[in-house]
Amino acid sequence: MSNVVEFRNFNLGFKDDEGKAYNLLNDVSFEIKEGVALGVVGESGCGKSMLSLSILRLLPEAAVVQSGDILYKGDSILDKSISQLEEIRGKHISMIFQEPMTALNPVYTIGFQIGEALKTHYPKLDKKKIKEAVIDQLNKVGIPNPEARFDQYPHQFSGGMRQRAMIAMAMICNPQLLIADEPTTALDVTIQAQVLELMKKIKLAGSLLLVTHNLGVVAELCNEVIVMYAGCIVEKGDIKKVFKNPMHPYTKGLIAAVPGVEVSEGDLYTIPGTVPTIDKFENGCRFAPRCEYMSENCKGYIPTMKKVSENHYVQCFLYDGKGDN
Amino acid sequence: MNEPLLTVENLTKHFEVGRFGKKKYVRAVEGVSFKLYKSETLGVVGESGSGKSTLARLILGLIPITAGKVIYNDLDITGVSGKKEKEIRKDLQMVFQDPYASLNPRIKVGDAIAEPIIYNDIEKNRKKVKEKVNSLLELVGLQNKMYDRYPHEFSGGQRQRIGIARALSLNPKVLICDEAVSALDVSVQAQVLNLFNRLKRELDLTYIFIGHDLSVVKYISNRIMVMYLGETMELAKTDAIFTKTKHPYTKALISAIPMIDPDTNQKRIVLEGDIPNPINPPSGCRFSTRCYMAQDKCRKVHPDLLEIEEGHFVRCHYPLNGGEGNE
Amino acid sequence: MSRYLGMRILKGFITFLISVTLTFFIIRFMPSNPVDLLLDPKMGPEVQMAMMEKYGLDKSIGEQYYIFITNLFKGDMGTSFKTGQPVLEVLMEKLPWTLLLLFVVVIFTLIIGVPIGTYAARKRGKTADKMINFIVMIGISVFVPFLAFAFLFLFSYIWKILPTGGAYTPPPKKGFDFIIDVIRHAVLPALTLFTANVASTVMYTRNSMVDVLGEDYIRTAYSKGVKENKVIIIHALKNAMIPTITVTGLTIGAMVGGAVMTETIFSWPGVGRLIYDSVSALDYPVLQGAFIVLALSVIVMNIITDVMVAWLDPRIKLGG
Repeated sequence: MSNVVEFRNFNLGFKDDEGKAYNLLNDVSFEIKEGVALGVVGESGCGKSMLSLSILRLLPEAAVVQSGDILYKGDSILDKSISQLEEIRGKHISMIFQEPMTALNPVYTIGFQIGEALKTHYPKLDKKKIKEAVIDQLNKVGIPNPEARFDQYPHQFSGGMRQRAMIAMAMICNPQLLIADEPTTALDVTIQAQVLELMKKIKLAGSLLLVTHNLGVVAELCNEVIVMYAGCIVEKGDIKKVFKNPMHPYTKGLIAAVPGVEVSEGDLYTIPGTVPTIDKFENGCRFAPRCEYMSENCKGYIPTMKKVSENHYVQCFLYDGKGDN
Repeated sequence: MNEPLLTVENLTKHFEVGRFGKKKYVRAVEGVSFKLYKSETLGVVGESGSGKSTLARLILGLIPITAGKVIYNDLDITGVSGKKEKEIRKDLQMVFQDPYASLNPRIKVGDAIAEPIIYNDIEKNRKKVKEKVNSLLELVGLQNKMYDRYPHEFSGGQRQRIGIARALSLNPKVLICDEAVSALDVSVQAQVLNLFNRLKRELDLTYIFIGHDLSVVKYISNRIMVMYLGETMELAKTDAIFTKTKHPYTKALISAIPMIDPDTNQKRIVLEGDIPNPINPPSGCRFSTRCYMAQDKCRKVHPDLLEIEEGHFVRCHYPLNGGEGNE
Repeated sequence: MSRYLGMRILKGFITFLISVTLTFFIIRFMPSNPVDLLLDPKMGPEVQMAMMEKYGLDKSIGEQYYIFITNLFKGDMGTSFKTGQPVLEVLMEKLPWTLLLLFVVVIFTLIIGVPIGTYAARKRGKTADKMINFIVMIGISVFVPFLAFAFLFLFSYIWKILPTGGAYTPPPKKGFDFIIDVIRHAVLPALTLFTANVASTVMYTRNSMVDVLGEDYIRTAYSKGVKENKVIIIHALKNAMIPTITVTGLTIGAMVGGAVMTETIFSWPGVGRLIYDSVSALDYPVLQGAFIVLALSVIVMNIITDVMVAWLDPRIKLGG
């Protein structure tokens, strides 16, 4: 299986108002393989959203790439010109966002906006063909009465419908990779279930990068997972392995902190302390201050990613020297 | 059997919208009745339009009631005002959802917690007030020296703790938590949930815990009430809700929860369509338009809330697990 | 949409009635009211009575008001104290000149102001934006008469390339020559008004654009591979124009009478100049008429901009 997208030692920072740069994403390396659904989980401030935005270079102005590279099918995305990037966006790699209401332009019809995704990459198509393709796509995502919906505006759709429309818009050019940034977080539970089922159907077509803080959603949709904390990947690999046999103290703590649907007694396990802000990151392992296994080693430098078993990697001094890269 | 601390009878709220003779009503809460027993945590679960937040505000008297009664400690407190209201307010307090919006950014957090104490004349002595605030801060796991800080200096989880400290400043008996952990990260949520449990034990509190995340509500509640479009659909002990589910909506809600264990190959119940508009709720059973088991009767006749087994209430003509419905 | 329009017109009509009523009463309760002016103490009592009867000043204030309103809707706004002409006629002579000036100013303000504002928004925080902001500050703070005099001094007095005043050099020429003559005369007053207005248009457009460019749907558009120019012109502009149109509309409405200083300095025969002249001459009927026209124009512009915004924003158009 070849890689659709690959991150190589990617470092991303942020400039504050005075121009001082703070590092967020630290030495991030991973691959999104063809046909694989990869989940990125982590809490606020872990940098997962920034990670997803870097692929299509949609980062905010204050963000600055400090080193490393992102490859699409072997070619560097960071080196590409804007027009080369525009070729990829929406056609080979698409993205859907968290808040479907604000992610759609309120003054244009849904039909126009979805059609635009197609027309931008296939300018020779005539209006009629585009409309047909859009209606077909609306059908595929389960929006009833698509001919009428074509001429309607975002505010006339409910939250779940809008998210489906966004999915239609992202998929209309059959991209190789769909990036979904918290796609169901803003939706009601039963609507979330609808959208999740839809995404299961769709992901069979290509690769998926799903960013979320909800471990259950990732478990349902993804084959592989990356766990992030304060800008670092702390654990990654096959999802069954990572969730059933978590190695990193943070991963363990995260899984234990989720109230399960099984009846549980007693207090939930909690990780003491809170996530540090970007200006307060440690020089060594960023999780060390909250880790019950912290030792002197952890303060000096960030550990390297070690292989624990086939497709299961951990970045923690506990496993240093126990495996090979 | 405990005596109920709080009884809610047929609570109804219709919001008026529209103008110029074309009046429409948002039927936010419709005929909700339940009893809250001392020292229990009653979870209230529902999605958008379920009316759960409105229900909380009705109970606390923050918005006027359209119909129904609220009885606290055998006293009818519906529409109570003035001095009596002030007395009651001390006993029933609320913790809000948004830790960023519910604290005034210009007031020191210590002063924010002190405000209700001073306003209600619980303590007039400045020094004693400060002592009380400090002890509250410690109670919720924050430090004394944080008295003089401003909200923006705290994280979401810490602000939520401040909100809790403020709610506890009047020594309430009942705490209504309206989506109090929904805006928090998973690990912070766990900390705050543990805090809620500890406070309940230490201060002998009674909770109404409102949320949309069933796993969270399940973890903290003794009994759960499931609401849909302003009505109670099912009310039972937590265990029974999950193992002896009677209402199809509850079942759909449970099956909608994404499971962490990647091995569970669940067959999920996916409801069709969107949640209807509370201005125009469906006739008959309000859930009939999306119910996967709906029959003719469901669309025509509105089911009552019946106690099918002891302590287990359902509003359904054809409840699951072979319970007796309305015939 | 037609319902919306109907409601707006109704509200506009009520606003018009209220402002006209206020105008009526305010003028009559001001010191140095018309009565005292007309009545020369040297006139004999019969003459005084006759004068008062002629102008309806012998009746009660309520009756005067009733007559005023009913006449207004017949198109009769009284006669000028100064010239004896019917006020409506006077206004009709002057209004077209003001409208001409306005039209020119608005077109240029939009053609030049909106692109500059958009450009500043795209370069926000950078040098270009800061420079434009600086110039805008000057434009907004400049004292209009000063600017008018400065232009007059430079262009008419020193360089002598443009005329000093009026709308045309009498006697009025015919056909195409006339048009050229008017254009030459219009340049300076239009330039003055333009300078004062373009600054605020640039500012509004820039700020509105900056807000819009920070919205999620702009990021979505980029993520589809839409080119930057199209994102700005198609996605951003339509949204950003909504507040800009509202403000521009209000400004235009106010300009009908608000160009008083400019029109006076350039002796431009419009409504603004009329207001100035009638204040000096204490010509109350004309002054009153001018205020009514001003109120009407603000209300009409308000309705037009509301309708335009409603047409642009489907949430209003369809009442979502």
